[in-house]
Amino acid sequence: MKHLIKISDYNIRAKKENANEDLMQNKMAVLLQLCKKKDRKAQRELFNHYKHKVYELIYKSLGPKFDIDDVLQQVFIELFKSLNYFKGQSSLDTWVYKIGSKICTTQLRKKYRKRQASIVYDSTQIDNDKNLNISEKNYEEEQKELEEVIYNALDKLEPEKRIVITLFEMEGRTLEEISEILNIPLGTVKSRLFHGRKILQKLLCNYIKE
Amino acid sequence: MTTNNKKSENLHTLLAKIKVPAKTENEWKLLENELFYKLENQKKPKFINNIFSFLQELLIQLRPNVAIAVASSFLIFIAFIGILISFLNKSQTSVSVIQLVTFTNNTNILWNGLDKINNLSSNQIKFHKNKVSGTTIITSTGDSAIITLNKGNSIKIYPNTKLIVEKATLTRIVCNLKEGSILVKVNKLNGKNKFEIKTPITICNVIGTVFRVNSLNNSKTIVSVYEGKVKCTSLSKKNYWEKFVESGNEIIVENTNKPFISNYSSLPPVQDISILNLLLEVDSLKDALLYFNSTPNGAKVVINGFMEGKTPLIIKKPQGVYSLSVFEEGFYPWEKTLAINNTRFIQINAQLKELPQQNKLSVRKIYPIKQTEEKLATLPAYINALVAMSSCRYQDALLIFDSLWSSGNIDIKGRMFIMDKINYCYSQLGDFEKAIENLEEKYNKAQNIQEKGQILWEMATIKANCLGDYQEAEMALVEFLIIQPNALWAHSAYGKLAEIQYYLGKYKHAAETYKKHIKTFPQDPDIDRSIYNLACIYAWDLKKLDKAVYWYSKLITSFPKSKYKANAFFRRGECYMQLGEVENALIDFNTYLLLSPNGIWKEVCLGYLKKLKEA
Repeated sequence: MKHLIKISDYNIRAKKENANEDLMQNKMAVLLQLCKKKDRKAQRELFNHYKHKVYELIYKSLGPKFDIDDVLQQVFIELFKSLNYFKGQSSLDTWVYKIGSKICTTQLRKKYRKRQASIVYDSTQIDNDKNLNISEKNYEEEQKELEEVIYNALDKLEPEKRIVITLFEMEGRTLEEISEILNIPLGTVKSRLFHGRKILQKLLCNYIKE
Repeated sequence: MTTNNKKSENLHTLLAKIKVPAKTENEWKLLENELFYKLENQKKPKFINNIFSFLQELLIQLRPNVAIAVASSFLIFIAFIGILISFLNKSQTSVSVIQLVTFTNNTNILWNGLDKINNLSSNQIKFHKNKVSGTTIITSTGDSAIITLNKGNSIKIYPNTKLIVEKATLTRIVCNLKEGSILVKVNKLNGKNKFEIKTPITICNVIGTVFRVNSLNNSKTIVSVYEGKVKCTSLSKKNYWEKFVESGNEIIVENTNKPFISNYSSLPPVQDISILNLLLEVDSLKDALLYFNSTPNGAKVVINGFMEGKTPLIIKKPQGVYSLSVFEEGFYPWEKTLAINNTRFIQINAQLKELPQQNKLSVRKIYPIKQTEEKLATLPAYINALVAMSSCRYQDALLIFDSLWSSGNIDIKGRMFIMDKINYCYSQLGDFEKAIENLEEKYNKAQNIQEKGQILWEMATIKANCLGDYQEAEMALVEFLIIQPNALWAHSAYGKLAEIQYYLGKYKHAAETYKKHIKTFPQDPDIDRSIYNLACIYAWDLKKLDKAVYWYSKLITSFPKSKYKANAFFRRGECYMQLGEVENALIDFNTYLLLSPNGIWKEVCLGYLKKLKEA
């Protein structure tokens, strides 16, 4: 009997959690409707709900050299505009990621094009130069330099591959989710991931154990 | 070695080492405020900027080599479209603005001032990719022409006119009216398009109208506007003036004086405009237009047994063979069979020969007719009609009945009597049930309210006049009046409807329709008849003698020149007699005898007088 009671307690708790989820969903649905009507309060709430996620996505996919705040604002402006086209076929999270990754890709493309025009340095040389000094610097500086190295390597990737790697390796999204977010087939996601990884492993060979 | 120690296990763990710098709440707040400030002050981008930004975005989305390919192909596409548009424009300008010129026999058309086209068999010129500017059209007496322009515009050229088409491009049409008069119908123009008529002293800029320009002796121009608005300006810039002439007004421009605008009086009446409109719609017609003219004017035109109207008359008819006849009382009838093939405009001049005077008199001597209860037989015209009926000349009889119908001696009971006779005549003349079937088909297909109204009117007249089906006719007329309460024939429709209702015994309804008629069309020329008939209905059928007296008095006071005036006196006298007002009755009977000393009620009136004096 005790077992039973415990189980029923557990059920009740699960029910409560479900109810909370339902409530959240309902709240989001109401928020969405209000946002579609360009209600500023609702938009602020939506912004506060997603700001951290979007900020992380942008930072991870673009790196510290970009004006992250500006891109973040762009993403939210685009999001508020595009909410009318959101029909609830996917979750709102996916939709937000979709728009965020789209804008990040365009930003990367802009930079990619500029970079192509300039001289491309041999990355391994730069990396090696920096390797000498790492030991002499404290942790924060190390971290900064590591980031720089990583983003230098990422910069050499094509934006399409880079966004896949960002989403998979850094954001921890599944392959299916990525294919939905980027609106490309699963096979393409896999191949981009594979090739991107290969290039990165080559570029960052000094930092990865073989 | 230190570096080796820091080596990550794999790529994933390495990448996971990236830490996102955290933001403080204040920073977030600032960012939020900035974002919403941007949202509030977002300007709506212009359409072209929008397109450019969209294209830019699109190009950025693509890979560089693909983007270059897309951009170059886009530019090539735009260049191709530009070439195509310019080519189309060229080919369009070569399509003539003047599509068709229809004209009568003696019209001269000088094309580009070089070729003289004259005495063509088909009376039509179609312009295909010709240079039209410079075309001169000259009409002599009794001839006319119609120029059909593109976009449903058209110009009618009256006799003795010289018109030069100076410029005719898709956007600008300039005509020079050297002398004579033209009628112009132009649909509403766009801002870029221009339509100008020049005369020796003024320029008319059209804004979308029907108007008539009359140029007299190089020194006077009259512009009469039927619909819309016309802007008139001076030719010279020295004493520049411009005036807008609105519908219902005409402007008279003379060399010496400044122009002045006045209400037109010398224009054709409203019904004539409808004919002109019909004429101007020639481009949309598949049928031929028949233009009837006769000497003397005002003769009746009958086509295939249908009375169509009085000359001068324009009727549209589809292809086929028609028997035409033109009648006028006291003249030999003019008859002709006409086959219409491809021609669109046919002018018919009927010259009627006068009947010898004796003919009419001898008829009356030979055929003495029994007296009818309404004393119709005392009228010579009635006898003539009966004679025509007995000799199977139903069309002649109908014409006489028609003239009797509009004479002043027939009151509403007499009209009923005549209506029966008319029915008989028509039933002898043709198969009207088939005609009704055809009209019903047409009615179902008709899209315009105007068209529907016209068909209803035709159906009603045929049902009443030819088939004697008064109930159907009444329904058709009521529907017609509901659909088009302001149609051209609405006033006659009211009269007809009231008569039909009277015939059906609906006296109250008839009285009401007459009242409506009097209220809505107070300036109808036939309004006196309606008042007279209304008074008669009150006196005889509704037995409301006060009202009858009121309406008779109204007729007498407000229509002193009416044909019914004398009869109204006689009838009012009768009413007074029944009311017991002997003195008034005496006065009225005496005035009747004074006004029409040989009237049909003379004997009755004398009888009444005798009675009154005895009493």
